[in-house]
Amino acid sequence: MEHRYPFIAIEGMDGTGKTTVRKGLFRLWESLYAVTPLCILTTNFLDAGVGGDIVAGKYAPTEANRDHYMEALAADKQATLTRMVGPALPVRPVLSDRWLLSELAFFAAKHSMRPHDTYQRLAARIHRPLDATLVLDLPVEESLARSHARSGDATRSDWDTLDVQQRVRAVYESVLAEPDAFPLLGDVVRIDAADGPAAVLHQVWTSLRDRGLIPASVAVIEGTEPSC
Amino acid sequence: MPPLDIPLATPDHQVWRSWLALADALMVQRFYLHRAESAEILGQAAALPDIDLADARALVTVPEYELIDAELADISGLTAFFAIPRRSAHREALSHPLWEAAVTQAAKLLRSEHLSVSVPEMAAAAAWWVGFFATIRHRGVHHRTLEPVTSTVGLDTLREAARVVALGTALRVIEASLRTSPAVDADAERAYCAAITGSIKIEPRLPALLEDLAELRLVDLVSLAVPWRGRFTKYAGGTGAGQVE
Repeated sequence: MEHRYPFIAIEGMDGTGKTTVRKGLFRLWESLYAVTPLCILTTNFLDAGVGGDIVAGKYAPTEANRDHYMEALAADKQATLTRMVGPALPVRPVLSDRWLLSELAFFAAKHSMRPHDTYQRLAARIHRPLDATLVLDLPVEESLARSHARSGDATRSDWDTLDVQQRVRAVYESVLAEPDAFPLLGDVVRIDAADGPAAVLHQVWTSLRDRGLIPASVAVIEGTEPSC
Repeated sequence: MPPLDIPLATPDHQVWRSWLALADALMVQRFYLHRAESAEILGQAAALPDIDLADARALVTVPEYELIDAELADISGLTAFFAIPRRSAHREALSHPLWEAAVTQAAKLLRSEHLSVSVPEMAAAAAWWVGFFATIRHRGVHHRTLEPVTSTVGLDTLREAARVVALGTALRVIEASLRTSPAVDADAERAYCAAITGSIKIEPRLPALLEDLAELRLVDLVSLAVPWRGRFTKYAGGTGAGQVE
């Protein structure tokens, strides 16, 4: 057994409630399990040398910058794993707002790359697996409607479209169908995001507990041991 | 993947729990410091200069309700929070203008009969505390400038404040229930998730609500009630709170 906390990624299309799940999991861990998680993003710019390639590859993707973007992502993720995730896991969980699955979806949607091919290239540079990838799932039309209805968030005309999001969801489905082909994703868990935020959070909680990624019982405050 | 042996952490070592205990105690201190002042204000006139309410004594009434489980109150750190309104409330035949808002909020979370908590008590206490500090608001200071408060506050703003305090109270009580349950309590877990996501949902509104409340003691009561990014700003910065006392 490994004596540490879990490394969990929260994935899903825009509008599926990833941020609410992440905040909810954060508060669950901090209040009920007495430990403050570290929250990270899929790219954290911890390798400053590749920052330009990340921005160019993500927001102005071209065939010419595709491979630089791939290498930059791998470098940034390995820097995050080395400097943030590895040191954190003995003392706190790490919750990532997207991680690897989103990259497989991006390269499929923008560069028509097969998820397996993208995975193989990233896996050559990334040396720590997730314990779980939670995939918040919704019909594409509903997730788009939710993301467009949000205030304060910029929707991207090149990304938040039905065509692109359908391709993204197709990647999620293909990975959910053969998760063993992508071991760096850990346990890939489909979460039905159609219910309200509270029900989705409870689904996430019980899913993680069933997989031994959240303690079976809450942390006890001295003098409050559960009565038998 | 090998299974994880997840370390069991000790809540008592979390510094924010100490901050919360200090914040709870500050409310108690403020009650004892200002209860005579509040009684004097309410004895002199029915209306308050900053709140449009015909009889301000309604703000510190409490309806009859069953006592919350004492163990739950103690574990959640809310013994004084519930006890003070019960001991201090005016017994006028007046309807508390904030109670319905608070009870609606608490009832949303506590639908299950398996949770041994009293929705009316939680709501009554939340409404009372907001009401108590509202009676002395016009003699308080602005939470940022520490200058005398000159603005008025609407009943709708106070009702919103009561809902936030009720939400935070319910969150703490449900958490206490989860800690003392010998087995997985799915009803309590669902209620806890509803309380957490409720706190996430209201967070964007909190800064504006606190500005509308404006006065330091009301702002502290509401800002410390629920988890959000600004909850322990003063404590985390080493300032602590209560220095104006």
